[in-house]
Amino acid sequence: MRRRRSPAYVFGILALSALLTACGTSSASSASAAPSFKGKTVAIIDNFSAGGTNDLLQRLIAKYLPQYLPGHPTVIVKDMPGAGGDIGTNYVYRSKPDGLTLGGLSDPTWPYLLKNSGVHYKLDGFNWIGAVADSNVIYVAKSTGVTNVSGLMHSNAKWVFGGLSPSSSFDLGMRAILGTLGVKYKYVTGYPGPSQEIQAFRSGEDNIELEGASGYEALIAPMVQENLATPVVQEGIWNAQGKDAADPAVAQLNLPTVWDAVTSALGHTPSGSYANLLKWVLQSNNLTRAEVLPPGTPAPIVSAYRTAFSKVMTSSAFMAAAKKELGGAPSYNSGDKVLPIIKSLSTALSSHPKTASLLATLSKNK
Amino acid sequence: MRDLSAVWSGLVIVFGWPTIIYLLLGVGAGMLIGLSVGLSGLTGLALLLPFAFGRKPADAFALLLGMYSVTTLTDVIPAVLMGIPGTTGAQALVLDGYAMARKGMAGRALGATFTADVLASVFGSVVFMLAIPLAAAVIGFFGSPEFFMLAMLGVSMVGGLSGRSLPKGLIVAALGLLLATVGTSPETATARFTFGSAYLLNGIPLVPAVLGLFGLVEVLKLARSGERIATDRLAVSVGVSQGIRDALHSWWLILRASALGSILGMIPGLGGPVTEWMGFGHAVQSEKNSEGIGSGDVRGLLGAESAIVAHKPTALVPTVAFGLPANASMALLLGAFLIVGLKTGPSMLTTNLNLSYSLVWMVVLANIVAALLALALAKQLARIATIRPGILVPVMLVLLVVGSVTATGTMGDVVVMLAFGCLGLVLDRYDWPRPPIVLGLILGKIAEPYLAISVNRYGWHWIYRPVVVVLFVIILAGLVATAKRFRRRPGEAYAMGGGGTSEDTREEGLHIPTGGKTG
Repeated sequence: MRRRRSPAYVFGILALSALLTACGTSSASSASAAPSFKGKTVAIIDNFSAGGTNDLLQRLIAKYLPQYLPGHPTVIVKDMPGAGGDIGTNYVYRSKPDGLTLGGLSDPTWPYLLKNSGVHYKLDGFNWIGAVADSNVIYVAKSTGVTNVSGLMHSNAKWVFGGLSPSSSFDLGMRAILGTLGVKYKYVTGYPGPSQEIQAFRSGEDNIELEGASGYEALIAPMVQENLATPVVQEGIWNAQGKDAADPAVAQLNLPTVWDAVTSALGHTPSGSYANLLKWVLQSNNLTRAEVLPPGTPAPIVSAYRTAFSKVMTSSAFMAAAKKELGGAPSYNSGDKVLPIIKSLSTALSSHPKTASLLATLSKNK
Repeated sequence: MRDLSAVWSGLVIVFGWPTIIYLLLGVGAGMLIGLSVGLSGLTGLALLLPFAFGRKPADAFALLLGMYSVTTLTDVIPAVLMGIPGTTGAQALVLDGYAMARKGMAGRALGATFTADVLASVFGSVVFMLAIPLAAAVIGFFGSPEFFMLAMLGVSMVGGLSGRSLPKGLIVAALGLLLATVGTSPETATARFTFGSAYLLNGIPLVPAVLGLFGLVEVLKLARSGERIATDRLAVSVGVSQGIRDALHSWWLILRASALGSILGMIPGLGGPVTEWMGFGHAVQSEKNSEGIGSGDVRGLLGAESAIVAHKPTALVPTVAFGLPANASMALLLGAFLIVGLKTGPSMLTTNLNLSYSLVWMVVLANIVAALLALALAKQLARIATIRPGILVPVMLVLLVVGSVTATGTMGDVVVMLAFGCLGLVLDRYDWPRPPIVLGLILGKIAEPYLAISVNRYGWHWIYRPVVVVLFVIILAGLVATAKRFRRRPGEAYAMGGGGTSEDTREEGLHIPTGGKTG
């Protein structure tokens, strides 16, 4: 006996499925905003894909965080990739401020500064728990014979830099360095990801690249061992004293920081729009892994998280695990220390119109 | 000699205690993940990665690779039995697998696919062992122009996915390529066709699109017909041994598709779905009497499955040897290397060579164990096809919705699934092929950035590069073969889209190998 199902039947089940799924995905945010998290599940939102450096860091934090939060909740990591990280960041910004959803966001600063169309958040609107700093290591093809920034500046090599996207902090950082030095280079961009970029480097398609310091051991070290690449300088992290400090994640390399190396190569302190842009990049390195709560989160919850994160980041067990599993101990600043940097970057574009114009030009690959 | 000793030592590592237990646990987890619509090896690796913390390297990799290796084995089950791809790597399996299930040959389809899994994983692993010394040279040949030409090679296979009409296939493939341009321009970072939606800035996600285009269409058709997928309870489960014989008869096709998958696996950035479609396209282009492939021919299943299974072990080559992840799953595995305190690169080929070979043994053993388990359960699993639609349809709809939201975790995924479901219904209703859309959607995202980079980096001189020329010749030969095929059989009908569309297509198109090489 053949029985036909009406379209209403099918779409009714579909709607029910969608509703149940929606309830399932948002159940964490329906809990109360009490400062005790006993019996609750806290979700850390990673705005990039599983397996990336940020994902690994957030998973490590999720392992140690429960013991320092009131009520010892379960902490999970949810990856919410897309739109260069904007989807996950927007999600956290409009999440219920009950302390059950927080962002472990990778680099929300540059999409905000560039006013990307997908940005529906304010950088200083978040409640900042703190931030883990991360920077990049710049490396060149061994065949160029260049070993330092001065050599890079004076080399006759035809430099080719391969990037991810004109508006990524990755591309902007390298272009700021090369622009400050006055080095001529060919810029090709649009590689789908870091591994494709490294593939391009291996095939000789480009000869100057940069990679996250925390990914150095996994991605760059093999090429150094094979005599394909030479690391020449690290970006470093701009500290509260106005200095470009070395990134502890690559302490073993003893590389100079880029601001000092460029100053030495030029013979004077860098200035001008490219130098301003470079300084912003170095400042933003403080905020690379942003640990944030949604706007409107009650102060006791923010305080509980700041205390818990500080304890995690200074615990010897976490530091040892981070050194082993991430390749280096993270450099962490609590919310009160990063707020001045956020405010400075938030107003940077309006106070430096020429640099803002340069940034707009570079980010559109004009 | 030293390498042979390392190969043996690698096997000893896998059978060590408790490594073998971790491998079996990983296999169990992988089989469940493959069965779960929307979840993939990538999701499984993300879920299991925390278990690597504090484990010995061999134990951690046994767990992770045991899981990762077998998701492509069980993802065939929902594809064959319900017309829903279990992962994005099971799209092409829907075409022939589901059509076979509707003809009452679900058991045969499963038997053939599981056998191909074992053969292809062994082949891919042998290639891994042989390729390690040559990999650096092979990888060094592939720059952006070569990636663009590989994407074009995939596009050139559209003829094999076009069903009865090449023009229709080309138009649908062009639509897929156009849809691939939705999102942020890779070269200028400008938003295109996003209509102000942040969701679309990253482009159309593949998982919900594929689930809508294939899964939703088949579910709606099943609900509308009110008939069971297969009516003969006995027939669906008796063909497992025949399926095994089919696979063994088609060993030459499995070998060729595995070779193709092995090579594509080593090249970073192409991924499983491209490899699977190329394997399927190769079966269509190279097999005699291939008009039934796509509507219930076991050779379509074998070509697609062999390619994707063989690509998994060779994807380990650039990851292990150079720290260069071939795909997103390998990027996660790279994280596992750090977690257990190992460095990828030359040391994996010298001081840790034994462990490197043990990884390959893990892939082979995991596939053998999983295939034996799956074959033992195939008869029972095949009976899913005989469940009443009143029970099966709601379950399938829930699976589709839950599977869709694995893409970004937002309701936008459900909207994409529904939109592609509607598009699929229209195409199916008017007898237009659906697979070329997926091909265009996948390959457009590879072709566009690499063409732009090639022109930007080399001008038009890139067309003279040796590998580009070789790939161009292969593409041309494929196109000529396709044109001949269509000229030889003008208007000959066979379905291409996810299961028989009419009574007559359900009666034809089943290829039964008669022995020896089928190529």
